[in-house]
Amino acid sequence: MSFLHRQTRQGEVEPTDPSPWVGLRQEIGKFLEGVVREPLEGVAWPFRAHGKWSPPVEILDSDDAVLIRAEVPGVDPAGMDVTIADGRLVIAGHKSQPDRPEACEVCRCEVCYGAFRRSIPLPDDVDIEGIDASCRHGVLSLRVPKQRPAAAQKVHVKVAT
Amino acid sequence: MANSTETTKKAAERPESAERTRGGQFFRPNCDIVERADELLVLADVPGAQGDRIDVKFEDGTLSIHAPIDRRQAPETEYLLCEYAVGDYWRTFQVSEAVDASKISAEYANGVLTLHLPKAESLKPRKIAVTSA
Repeated sequence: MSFLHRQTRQGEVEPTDPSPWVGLRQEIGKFLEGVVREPLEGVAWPFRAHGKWSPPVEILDSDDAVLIRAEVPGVDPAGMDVTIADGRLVIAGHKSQPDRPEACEVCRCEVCYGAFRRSIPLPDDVDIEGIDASCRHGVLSLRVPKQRPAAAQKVHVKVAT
Repeated sequence: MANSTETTKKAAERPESAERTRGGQFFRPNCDIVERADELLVLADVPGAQGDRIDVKFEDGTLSIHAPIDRRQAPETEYLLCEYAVGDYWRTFQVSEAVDASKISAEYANGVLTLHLPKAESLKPRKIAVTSA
């Protein structure tokens, strides 16, 4: 275990055993989950995450489209599911853990593996048929075009004589 | 007493060993490190990085990973939700001298950088055959 040390920005050397820090991070996550989620129990949470881990998402709005990006490093793009149902866009997939031989020692474990599922509500004025998805360098990009508003039509008013 | 003051001043003037040459915001990528019998395997999540621009250096026992990331937000767009910030990845590890620096190899696929740090020959496990007379 003493094989590796992490160097901090101050030049200090920290011990490698990550377990207390991983545990602390999980504890903080659980605490925040309780503080933030529980008082809002009855309120619909707009961005639901299911599964063991949840990829971070960013949503950008432009004049003609909504752009959704998710960081999914290590996820096989071919095995990723993007579905649209009931006005929600669902991104699901699985991050596989690389094969580890039995005779190995895990020095540091910070990456989460397993299945994930994110459900994102879509606005009403989007063109579901025109959604474009691509995955490059571990970033999933979705472009959801907005429906063009119908051109204003002028109605001729007949004047009764 | 004079010696003591001089030593302290020298120590204070010495620059940090891992000081960055570039300014700006950096992010620490999540890493898994596995020690195998013959190598040390480092897996770093650097989503958004381009493989040919990732800079991996091994110098004086320090392994450094630097992956520049381009800004992705177009100027005419606004954020509705932002769960992660975009910026370069940078991380260093102090590795013992047991690694054969000339044989370090790296692969990059789907946003994950994989580094193979082979152990020096002298440290690889070796089975010694015992001969009986």
